[in-house]
Amino acid sequence: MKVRRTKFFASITLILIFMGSFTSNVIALDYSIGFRTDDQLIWKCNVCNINKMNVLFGESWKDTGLFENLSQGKRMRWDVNTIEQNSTTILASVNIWMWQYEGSWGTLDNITEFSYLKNPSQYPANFNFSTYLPFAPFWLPVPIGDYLGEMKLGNLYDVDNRVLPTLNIQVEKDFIQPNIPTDNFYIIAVYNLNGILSSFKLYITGNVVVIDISLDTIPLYVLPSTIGLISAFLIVIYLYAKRKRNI
Amino acid sequence: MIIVDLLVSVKRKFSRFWEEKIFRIAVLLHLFYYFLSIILFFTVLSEKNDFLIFYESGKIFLNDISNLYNQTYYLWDFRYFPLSALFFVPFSLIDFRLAFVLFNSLNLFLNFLIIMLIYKIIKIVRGKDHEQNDKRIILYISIYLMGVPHVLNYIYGQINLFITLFILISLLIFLSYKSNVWQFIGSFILGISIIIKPTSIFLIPFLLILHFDLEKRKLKIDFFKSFIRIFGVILPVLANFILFAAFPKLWEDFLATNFTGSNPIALNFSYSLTKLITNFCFLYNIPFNQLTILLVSVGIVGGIGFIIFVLIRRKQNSILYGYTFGILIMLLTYFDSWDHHLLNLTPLLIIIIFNLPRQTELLNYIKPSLFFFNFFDILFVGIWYLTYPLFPYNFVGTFFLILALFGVIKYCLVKKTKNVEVSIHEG
Repeated sequence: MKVRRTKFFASITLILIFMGSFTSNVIALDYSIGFRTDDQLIWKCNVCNINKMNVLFGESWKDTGLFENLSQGKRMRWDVNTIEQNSTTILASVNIWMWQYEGSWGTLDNITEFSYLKNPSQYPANFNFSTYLPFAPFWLPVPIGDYLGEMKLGNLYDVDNRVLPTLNIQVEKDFIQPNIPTDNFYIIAVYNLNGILSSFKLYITGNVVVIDISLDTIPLYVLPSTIGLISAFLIVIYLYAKRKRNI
Repeated sequence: MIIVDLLVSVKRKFSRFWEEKIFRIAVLLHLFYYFLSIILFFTVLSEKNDFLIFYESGKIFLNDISNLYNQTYYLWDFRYFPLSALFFVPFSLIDFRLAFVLFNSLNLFLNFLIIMLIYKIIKIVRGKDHEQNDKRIILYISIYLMGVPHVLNYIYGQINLFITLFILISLLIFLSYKSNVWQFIGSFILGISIIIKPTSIFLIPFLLILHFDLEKRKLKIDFFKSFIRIFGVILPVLANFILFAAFPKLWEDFLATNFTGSNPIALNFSYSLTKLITNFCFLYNIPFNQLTILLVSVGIVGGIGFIIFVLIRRKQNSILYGYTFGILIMLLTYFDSWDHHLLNLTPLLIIIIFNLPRQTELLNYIKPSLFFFNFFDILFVGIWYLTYPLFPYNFVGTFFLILALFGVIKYCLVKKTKNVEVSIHEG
């Protein structure tokens, strides 16, 4: 018994020593881009209540920016041209085909460069990604949760990276200019692990969705996983119930 | 002298437990969970855990209490009653890393108190047709210690074990003592658990001594004892309202954070019924009011639970079933029910297994739920990440919560429980 107890305490001591070796490690995260050159990203607009948007922002809201020509059923395509990183900046250049209905994409609409600081803590305090639509970026460096966590974002933003990296954005009436927007609204922007916007929803009071944009491609594993989960659950319940009935 | 006697008794009991191989394995596995959490904390999770929020809340409570619910100060939302932050003040006075290790060591210690309480309560409520030796109790205590929810509880630096401890102490008091003083003490202790974390808030209605006799069709209520219990439990909770009155901003922020902010809308893997509904609404852009969904869920599930509890046919140990109803209602109806919250439920399910007849068919509802929550629930959190773009519902946990609820409801209502052969081999 005594030998056994000695062994037990020796194991605990060894684990403690092992732990001690970790205590001085401070990990500096190296942020990068979650997509590669030549990757194609397509977003689809599932809901766009144009009348409500006109009331909120005036009719010019879809004249410029990433919401140019946005309406329900349209898609926006990005082709990644180049990716550059240096000690201070992360930069991606993309060819953009703005919102259009399915069919041939035709000539690209513009080439845009997006850049982020390599060290998110270097952004100034109360930083806003944008003070106009869409308020949320379409991509962010990875690991996205840590990147968002390190930024000192303005009062508009509430970062929730506990389950899915999410930006909750609350915009009050008259924030942009007097009478724009005409009412409070909020945005829930969810990102995938590659830092790409996977869902963007703009809500007004009563949780009514005015804009819903999502990444058009669902990862390949999602459908078989869902079917597998539901089938396995039903089979297990059936077998358990059958076994119990037979006993 | 009493303390020395108590310690000697605990030591003797622990030595008895240690004689069983399964208990030794459970302790080693549990210690592994504890050390794993500390290793992960020092390597990757030092800035991503719940304890960081509690630690910050302790600091803010001391220095700038009106900003206690200003979420810009926190990694994730601080949602609990303001007095809960007071509990973390001592930890916030020391270095964060040291505070985490101390806090988790306290959690480890609490687990050993919890198993002693489980043992003590089982001894009180155990049915006459159960084995009279301790072997089976030790087996189930070991199952509790091996529970996977402990891993997340340690990793996050969570406070669920404090809730479990207070729930079990109050349960032990109610089962052991009938005097009014003890009724007050038992409910006051439950009230303290609500201050720390409101998980046990739905236990309050089940403190009422209210019974409708189905045979005689007569409603009986013990007004005085019910009043003492409700007064005892509400007293610590009301203490928070002194702070709310002194700092009105606290009250507004508390309500916004818990019920009306954007957080309850966000997609997540909570297995609560309410979350399944809000996830459905989120996915299909159905306008909804999260507070209405919460109130309707609480009204339906809580209402059913409470009515059944009033109709219970067996008055002996009914408080055990009332507590279980309360926790099940909370897990089914609050927005966020996570794997580590199950540590509030599994000890109650274990105690129920010993209170029910040894071979009753009701075990077919309770045992699978216990084993699912203890070992498999976490697996479905992982699966949720694979399916959420198409199917964001962690419904398997909900199913087992409903199964356990159904088992408890059936126990309360049936005249005589049917016996079956026990199918799970227990060594």
